[in-house]
Amino acid sequence: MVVEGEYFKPGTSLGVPASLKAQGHSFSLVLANSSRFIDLDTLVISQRLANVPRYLCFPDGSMFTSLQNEQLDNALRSSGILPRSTWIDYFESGWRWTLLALIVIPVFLVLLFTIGMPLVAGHIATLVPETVKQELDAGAIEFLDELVFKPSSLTTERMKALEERFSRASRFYPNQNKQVLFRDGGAIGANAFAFPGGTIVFTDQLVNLAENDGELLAIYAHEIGHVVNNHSMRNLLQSAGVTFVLGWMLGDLTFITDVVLVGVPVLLQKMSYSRGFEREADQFAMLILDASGYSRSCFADIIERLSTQLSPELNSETSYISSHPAPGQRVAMSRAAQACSDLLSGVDGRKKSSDGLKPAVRQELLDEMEIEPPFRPPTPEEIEVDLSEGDYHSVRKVSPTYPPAALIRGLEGYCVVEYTVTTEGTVADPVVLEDQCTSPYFTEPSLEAARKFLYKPRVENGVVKAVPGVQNRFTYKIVKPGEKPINPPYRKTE
Amino acid sequence: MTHDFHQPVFTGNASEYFRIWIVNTLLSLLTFGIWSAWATVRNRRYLYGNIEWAGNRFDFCGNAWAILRGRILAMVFFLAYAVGGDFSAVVPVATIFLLVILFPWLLTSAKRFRLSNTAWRNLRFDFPGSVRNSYIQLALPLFLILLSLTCFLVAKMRVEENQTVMESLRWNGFAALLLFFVSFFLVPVTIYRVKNLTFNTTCFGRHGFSVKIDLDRFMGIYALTILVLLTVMIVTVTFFTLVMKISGENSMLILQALQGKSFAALALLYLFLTLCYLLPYAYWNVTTTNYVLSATQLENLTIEMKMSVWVYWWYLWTNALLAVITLGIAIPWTKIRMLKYKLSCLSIRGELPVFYGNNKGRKVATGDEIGDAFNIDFGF
Repeated sequence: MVVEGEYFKPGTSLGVPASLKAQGHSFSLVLANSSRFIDLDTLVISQRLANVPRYLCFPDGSMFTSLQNEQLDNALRSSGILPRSTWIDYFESGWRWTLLALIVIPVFLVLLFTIGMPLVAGHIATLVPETVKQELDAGAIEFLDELVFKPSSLTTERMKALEERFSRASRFYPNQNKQVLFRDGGAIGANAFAFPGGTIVFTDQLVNLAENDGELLAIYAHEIGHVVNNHSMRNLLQSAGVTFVLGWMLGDLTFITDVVLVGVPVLLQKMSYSRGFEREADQFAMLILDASGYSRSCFADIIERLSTQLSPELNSETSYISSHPAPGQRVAMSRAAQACSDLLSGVDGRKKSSDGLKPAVRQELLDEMEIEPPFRPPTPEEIEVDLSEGDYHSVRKVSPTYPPAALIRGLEGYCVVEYTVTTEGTVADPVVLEDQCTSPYFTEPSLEAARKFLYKPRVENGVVKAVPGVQNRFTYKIVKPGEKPINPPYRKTE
Repeated sequence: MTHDFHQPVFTGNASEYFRIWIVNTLLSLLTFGIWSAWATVRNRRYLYGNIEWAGNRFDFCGNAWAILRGRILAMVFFLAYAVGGDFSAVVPVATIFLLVILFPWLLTSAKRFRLSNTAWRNLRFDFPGSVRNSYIQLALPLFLILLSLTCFLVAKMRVEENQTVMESLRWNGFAALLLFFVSFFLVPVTIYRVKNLTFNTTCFGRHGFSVKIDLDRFMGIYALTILVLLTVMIVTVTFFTLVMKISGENSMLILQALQGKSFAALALLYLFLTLCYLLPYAYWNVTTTNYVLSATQLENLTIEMKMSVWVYWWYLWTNALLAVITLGIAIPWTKIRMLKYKLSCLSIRGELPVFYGNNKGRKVATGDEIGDAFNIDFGF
């Protein structure tokens, strides 16, 4: 076998035609009027890459180069030396691997951006301490106050009333900072903002746009959905992540491809993440509305009214790149049979609305979240108190409401409440035992349920006695479809 | 044997390069970026290995580990700058200072890596300059840049103590303008020094390149670039103002585009702005490259570079557009297209001499032995 090429003496650019002769395991280099034997062990051979010439470097610094890659490989193979890294050349030279890459690359990127990145960002976002987030809030609000906002012209009574209404819904996420601020939105107009630390700003324009407080509660619930789910932090991390991944993994980009091919996907990704967050917050708003006894129509009403304020183009369902889902979709998702002004009395109304949740998930939510009318302890006249001789025992136990914020996070746990069983058989002074409560989400619902318990009071020697220090453990467990629910759902530890 | 005129040509083709590019891109993704260093080596080997000059090809023989080190370093800086800024005001500023201070070292090691791993025939290029020398050469402009940055920051802190956000914004605008004028002198001086240093230190074998450029010309080019940039700014701003005034409908469209609400509007705006702002970039790039390369000599060979600003600009934005429309699939083709154009503008005149190396041969050039740790590729 003969491989034609060029030979260079050590340290010179002057080449002479030469050929490589392979006879079995012995190689020799043939020049115009001389020939030399080649020791294959000391030879350095460059890796094969498409049509790029190969270089055989000799230990004395001389070199043989050839464009005849095929012949060279054959010669080397026949002598038992396979050139290094042939596998990559094998992948690079076949069209079917190219086709495979064309399919795998988009799939991989889509999976990375839709599943991997949000997962990682979600985990990292929870590591950011509350204090840092609240500092971010303060900075952002100071900035906006200076540049955009003006002081609110709402009356103090109006603000107080709204704050009170909101605080009733806020019992479902007890560990969040729940500051609500009102500002004149100026150029921004009707809008509401959620900041990472839990501060929510309503503009006067939005408050005035709403026809009833249910609509404002819907907006409030939506914004709180952003806070509870750490959306600002996640957005920040995901945007940085996309830039990082594209820059790092694809690398070796020139100026222009850098700008266009990294800039544009980052922007698109940001928008689609943003839409995802909006949907998540919308779903959260639905849960809060359900749990606080408002119709989901409240949300539909205010979104509809807000969208008519914007230009018609913005309402088109086709606009792909948008920070929010199309208003039409959001209205359709939340429109319920009941008008917003009707406070719901039962569960029936809610079952009709479609909220984009999977049927199984929705069923779970509905099963777990029973809406009950505001509770007041029953008076002894209302119930017949059993005053027979004997120790206290339970007459009525009530299931607590599953806090939606815990539900959508799949959070399970328990909470132990300690209280006094009064001489009337009611519950007084319930307190949560901090070290026996797995999440602050469960505090409020547990206390609320405990207040509704009824007992036969303790009667010793004909004397009715109050019993302090009675404990009850409320267990929160999400029932998977097909799984047998715990019945009675909550174990007591008395 | 020897001719008076030597035109480099590109011998590769896009379909071959496409296969190499896409397979390596896939491997980079699947290995979460680790392979990207090896991918860079393969890509570069293909491109260098297909540039033929005076009958022989160039070759890139860099080590992927050095590239990986460089990329990790670059990513650390990027993360500190991009993500650090969201949590702390100090981190991005510290990153910039660190980058300015490390610049001569980064430049030297990057140049050394790139050049000592580029070969033609049996000889390698080299960058024998020491880090010390780079620091000496670049000390003055870098010191002035650091000084002006420090003055800016100190003044900012002083002023910021009791003032409102609006005042501080106004002050920032003023300071930025001031900084802009300071940079007006510092940037061309720095680039001039860098070009002077790198071109005069570069060797092929034992033969050194020499370049004769003067600062006045650089200042002139820079001033014209600023002028082009200002013209583009005025034109775009006027254009948008006019559109806004002419009809309310269209102004709505631009507002939507700015808010990212309408895809079509955003795409058009992006295209328009890219077109406009690529012009000053193209002007600066083409003019300096033409000037510096044409002033470079190697032994009795003179180089002539004759790129056209308009053609380069046309290639830039059509390439970008193609890359976007094809979702990146056209990237290999656009790379080759640009490379071919550049090579077609380059000619080397003079009788081709016989070059000599340091008698050590091609695969054991100086670069490899000078501490592998300093061998990083930082993409200059």
